[in-house]
Amino acid sequence: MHAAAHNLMGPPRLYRTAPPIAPTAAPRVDPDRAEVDAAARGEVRAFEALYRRHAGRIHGVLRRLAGNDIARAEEWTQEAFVLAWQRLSTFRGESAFSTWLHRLAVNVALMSLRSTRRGDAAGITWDDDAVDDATAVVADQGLRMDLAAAVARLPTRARAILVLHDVEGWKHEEIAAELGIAAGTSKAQLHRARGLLRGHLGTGP
Amino acid sequence: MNEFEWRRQLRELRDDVEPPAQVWTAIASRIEASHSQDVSRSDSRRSRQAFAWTRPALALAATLVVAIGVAMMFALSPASLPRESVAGADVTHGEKMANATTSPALDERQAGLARNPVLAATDAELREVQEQLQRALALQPDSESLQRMLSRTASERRRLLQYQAQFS
Repeated sequence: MHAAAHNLMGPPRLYRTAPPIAPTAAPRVDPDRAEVDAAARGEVRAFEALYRRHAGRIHGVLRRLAGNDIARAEEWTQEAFVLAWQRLSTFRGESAFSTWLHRLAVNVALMSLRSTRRGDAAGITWDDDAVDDATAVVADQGLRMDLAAAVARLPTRARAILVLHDVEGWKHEEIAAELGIAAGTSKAQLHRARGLLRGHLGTGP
Repeated sequence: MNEFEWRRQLRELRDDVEPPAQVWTAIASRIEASHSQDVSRSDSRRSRQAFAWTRPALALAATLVVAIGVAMMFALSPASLPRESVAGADVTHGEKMANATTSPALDERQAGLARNPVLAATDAELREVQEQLQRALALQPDSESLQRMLSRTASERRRLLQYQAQFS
């Protein structure tokens, strides 16, 4: 039996030389490079192609940062892409275009949030510290909101840090650099934001 | 909800949201507006640049006129002229000015000027300046400063012809 099986399968293959080595990974090419170059030369169609490719992702993060304020997210999306068009000549290709665009869009949102300092959906401004009261109100009412709605209810700064860290995957150092705060402050704010979120969802301790 | 489940659910919020169509329309119109502004700005810059070369040319011409005038004043001052020529100039200046208007006399003086080892180079430079100014005037016929400089250059050439007459 064993011998028959061995005959059917043939002798075990022995490599006299080292097995073929997989070709080394080719240097990464930015898939947007051609359109970026064309758009930098003033071709609006190429820029439209970039918009069509990235608008969903950019608008998504801006909607989350805006706390589902649709009008504000649309305004930021527009602003971000116009700014990207104006600054295309400064894009050196050191990072992927998608990364560059994402950063630029987030920066537009954060600048707007900090400069206008207008209240969010819950009427809480960027620098508002009265977050514990908001949590208490929601907890007392015993409301159970879904996660996206709960994130949208967070105070502006807490929401920005939670979205960038826990949803978008940014590091504290990156968030701190973008917001002009210390990395430790970003960690503390995230801890607080998570606590608030748990409170909103009624899953906290 | 444990920590792992919590993180996973937050990550799942990271979905794309397509903006409404009017967002691109607004972006395109803003881009178009800024593009047309840039074009009109670069057009006006280009038209300014078209005449930019006249400035250094005019500056050079003006410098040459002044330099030649000063050089002529020093080189052909009465002290540097032969005594008999100066005396002759005093006597015959009026007649020679009158003769300068007649064409054969003018041609003769210009021919003499071209042969003069001292004045020929100066005359050539003045002639070149005059030609440059005439070219510039063709582009900007209403320019008073160009006309002033051209008449000044012409008068310098006339003075040169007078000096040539004194030499001959």
